[in-house]
Amino acid sequence: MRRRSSDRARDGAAVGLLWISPWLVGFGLFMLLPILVSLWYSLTDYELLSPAEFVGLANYTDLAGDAVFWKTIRNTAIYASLWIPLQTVIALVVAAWLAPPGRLVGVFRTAIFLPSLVPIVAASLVWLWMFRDRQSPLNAAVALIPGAGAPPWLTDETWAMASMVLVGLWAVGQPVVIYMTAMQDVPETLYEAAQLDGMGKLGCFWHITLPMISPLILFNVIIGIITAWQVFAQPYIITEGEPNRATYFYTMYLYDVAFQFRRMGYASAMAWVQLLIILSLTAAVLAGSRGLVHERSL
Amino acid sequence: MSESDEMSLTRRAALGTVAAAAAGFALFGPRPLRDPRDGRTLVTYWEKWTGYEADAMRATVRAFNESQDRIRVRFLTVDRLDQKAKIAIAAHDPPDVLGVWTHNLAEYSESGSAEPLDDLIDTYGLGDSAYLPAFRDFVNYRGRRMAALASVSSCLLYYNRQAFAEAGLDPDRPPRTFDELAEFARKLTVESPDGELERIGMHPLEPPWWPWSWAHYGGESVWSGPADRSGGRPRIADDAVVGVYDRLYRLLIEPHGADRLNRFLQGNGPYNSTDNGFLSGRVAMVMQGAFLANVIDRHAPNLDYGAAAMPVDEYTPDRPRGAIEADLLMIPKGCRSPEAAMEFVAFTQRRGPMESLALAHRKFSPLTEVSTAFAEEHPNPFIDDHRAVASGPGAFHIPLSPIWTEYRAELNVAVNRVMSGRSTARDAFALAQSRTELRVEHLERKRRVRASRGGIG
Repeated sequence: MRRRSSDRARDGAAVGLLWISPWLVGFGLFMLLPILVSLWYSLTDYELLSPAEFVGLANYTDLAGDAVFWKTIRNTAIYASLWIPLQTVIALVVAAWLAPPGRLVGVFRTAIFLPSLVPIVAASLVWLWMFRDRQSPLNAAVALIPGAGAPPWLTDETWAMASMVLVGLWAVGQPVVIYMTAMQDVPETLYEAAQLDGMGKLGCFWHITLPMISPLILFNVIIGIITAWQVFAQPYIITEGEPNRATYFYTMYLYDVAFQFRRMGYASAMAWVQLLIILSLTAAVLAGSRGLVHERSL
Repeated sequence: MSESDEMSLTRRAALGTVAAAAAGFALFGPRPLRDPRDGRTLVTYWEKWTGYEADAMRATVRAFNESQDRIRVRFLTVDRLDQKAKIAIAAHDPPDVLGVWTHNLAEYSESGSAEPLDDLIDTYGLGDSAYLPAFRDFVNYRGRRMAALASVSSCLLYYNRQAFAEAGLDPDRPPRTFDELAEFARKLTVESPDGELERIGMHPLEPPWWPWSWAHYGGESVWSGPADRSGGRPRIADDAVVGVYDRLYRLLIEPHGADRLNRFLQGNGPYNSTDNGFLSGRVAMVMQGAFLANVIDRHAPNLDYGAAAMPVDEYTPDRPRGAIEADLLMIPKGCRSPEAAMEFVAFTQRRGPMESLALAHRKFSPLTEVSTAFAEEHPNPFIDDHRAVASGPGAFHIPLSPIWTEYRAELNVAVNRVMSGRSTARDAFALAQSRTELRVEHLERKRRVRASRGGIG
């Protein structure tokens, strides 16, 4: 007797669910549940080693009066506003340089992408040495500038922030690869038509390449927002937030509050505020990009 | 094979996979309490030490395991032990023994996360008199024995004798007062022809580990009330304390320029390396613990150095001042084998194991009784000076309060701001004080709540 197709579909769905059940269980236990529990903890006074006590919105109102919280918001906003545009511009320029075929292009592409593969901790330790040692390639290069000595990379508040941005730009290879792929996908006929109309290389880049790859620029900017607002490992290793908390970023403070000071409730509230900030910024960028982003999917 | 047969086969395969995963978890997931090889009780010991310091404790563990046939201690070096231990305790799956810092004593004891170690007194005869008086604060909390000592240290002024000779100073006569320290530092400072610093005498934040302790060398304290009690309040913003740091700034920073010093300090490498500021000869004097001898032996064995009690506001030869600290052993509540863990902890407190570890760490023994061989064979040439400071009335330590971690973070930032010339001590310390006061009030409120519920108030 043949089974009805609806029965087969139901059985198929059940088997499918059964097969992905390890992932479902893992997601539920290790992602969804902690997220929901952190929302609950954000409404409690929970010090990890003692039971949580419900305090309502006290953690959120305390944040409003926390000077270090605002300092880390400010630091992270400065970092994001410097790093995201710089990374975008540099990645676009490098991608435009490396996208066309040519001699040694493969070598340069590999060289640009290679730093992205270096573990963050290892790269941070190398940067720490580069900043500290007067004989490092970085300081030796600076010394070539007439009248310039090694800047106080890590001991001056402004320079320390600049150093962190510089370290962040180290892994520019990933967006370069994305932009490069997108540029290679732009139809050649568009360039040919523009050149027939007398448009130069710069004009082609501005009027054809950028609009055509704009969806990926938007994608990278959003990823950049998320990354910048979660910056942690590099400053944690290189500056530990110093000097004078000038490189103390939001996630570093969150980590310290949670694991150094054991204030899990407060840290959970910070995590939810961080989520809201990132969501708001992403929504703002998406709203602001309407009309600017080419809608043809690449 | 029909379609329904295929379906049931697929379903059986899926169910079989899930069952196999569950069986694997049951077999290899939770660890047994006993060693399957010989039935010994297993004790898991998490320690923060790495490298040669961990090796020394590993030898103690080996000695314990060989000394009896009922318990086997498994020694694990754990990175970021503090955070991981707290999470393990909160998750009710802690190790049996934790090697922690002094500030953890109050945190774990106050929250009821540690087993009282009264057995050490009752069964093993380790009363307070077993330890040097200064270290008794580190093993007791609010009247209960809560920890044991793994190793101890005290701070001295370490100085470069060769640099002293080059500067025309007597290598056998280190500075004794703040004024002398400033004078010596000035003489020891070397500048390059372009005005950059090549060597400095001393900087209060090199190394940056004990910025709070300078208040004590200045005759003050960063904490009101005795530091061995869980009560008290921060007093970093008190005029007297502010005065100490203002004075230090005027004596040690201002004459050389805060910006120049900041740039100079940037060039110092990691502590445990040849680029260490003191080992490389870039910094002529540093405050350091007995463990520095190990680092010197490894990275600069030919360094000609001396050590003496830290300079203070007013010199009192019979009352040398120095910060003391300790590494503690605690047994977390909820561990699997507290009795076996207690036996191991008691073993570490015996004179033999304690002295072996101290020798390897280049530290002194916190026990009242010390063997003659220990004193004679000790490789640290200044071990007697370290012990003398710790044994004397001028020994001091961090406030043993659960909020110390946060207070220390605020103090570090505040002292850094002052010594880098970014803020006056009054402004920087007022902010640190107000932030820490909030935490003290929070702690006191929680204590009241706990007391009203019949717990430890």
